[in-house]
Amino acid sequence: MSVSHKRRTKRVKTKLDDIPMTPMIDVVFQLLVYFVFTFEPIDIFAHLQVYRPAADPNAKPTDKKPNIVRITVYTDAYTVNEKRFSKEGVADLLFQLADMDRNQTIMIICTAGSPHKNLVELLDLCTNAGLKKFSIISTD
Amino acid sequence: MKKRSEVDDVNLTPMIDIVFQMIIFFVTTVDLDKEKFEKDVLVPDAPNSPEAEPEPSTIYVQVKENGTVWVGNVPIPNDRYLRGILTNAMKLHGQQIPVVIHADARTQHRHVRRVMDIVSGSGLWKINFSAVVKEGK
Repeated sequence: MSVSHKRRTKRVKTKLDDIPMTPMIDVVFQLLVYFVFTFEPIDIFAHLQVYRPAADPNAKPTDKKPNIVRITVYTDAYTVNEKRFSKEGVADLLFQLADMDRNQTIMIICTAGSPHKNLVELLDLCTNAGLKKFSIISTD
Repeated sequence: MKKRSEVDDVNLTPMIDIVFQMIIFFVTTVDLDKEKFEKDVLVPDAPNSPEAEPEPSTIYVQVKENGTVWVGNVPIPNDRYLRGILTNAMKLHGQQIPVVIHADARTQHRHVRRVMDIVSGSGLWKINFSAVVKEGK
C-alpha cells in the first residue's frame, strides 16, 4: 500500500514539474507592459454647488441696491460693490468678510463675456475663505 | 552541464508574485469614467474646494470652448433636445438629481448661462460646476 502511494505521489510531482510556465509569464508581462503604457493618473474633481435666485414676479422694481456684497466677474477683473479688485485683493476681502460672518450671502454677478474660469476661481476663493452662501446672477 | 542546472534553480516565484501584484494594482486603479468626458474640455482648477462624491444618477453636461454642448459622449444639436433629455431624467428620477456642468475654462459665461437656464427650466435645481481639485499628472 505504502509503495503504491509513494509511486503515485512521485508521478504527480513529475507532472507538475512539466507544466510550462513560459507562456503564462509571457502573457503576464504583456499585460503589465500594456497597463504601464496606458496608465493615466486620475484627476480629482470638485462639484461646486451654485444657487440661482429666481425673481419674485410680484416684486416691484426699485432703484435701491440691496445691502449685500456684490462681486461682479468681468473678463479681466473683479469688482466688489463697484470697486475694482485683483484676484488677490478679492481673496483678502473674502477672508475679512468670513471673519465677520460666514453665513452672509455673496451675490456673484457674472458678465456674459467673462470666461468660465474666472467664475470658478471666485467660487473657489469663497470656499477657501469659508463662505458658503453665494448666489449667481448672469448679466449681458 | 553544471551551468544548465544553475539556470534551472533560479526561483521565479517572487518575480511572478510582484508582477501579479502590479497587474492587480493597474486593473483596480483603471479609471473607466474617464471616457465620459471629452478630452478637449479643460476644466478650471479649484484647489481649495472639497473633493466631489458624485451620486450615481448625476447628469454631466459638457460645454466646450466654442459653446457646443455634449451629454455623455453625445453631441446635443439644439437646446430643445437638451431640454427633452433633462425633462425625461427629471420625470424618471425626480427633481433631486444633480446636474454637473463640466464646462471648459475658456468658454464664455453666456454658454454656461444658456445651459443653466435650460437645466432650471427643466425643473432641476441642483446645479454644480465641475472643477479640478488635483490633477492626476
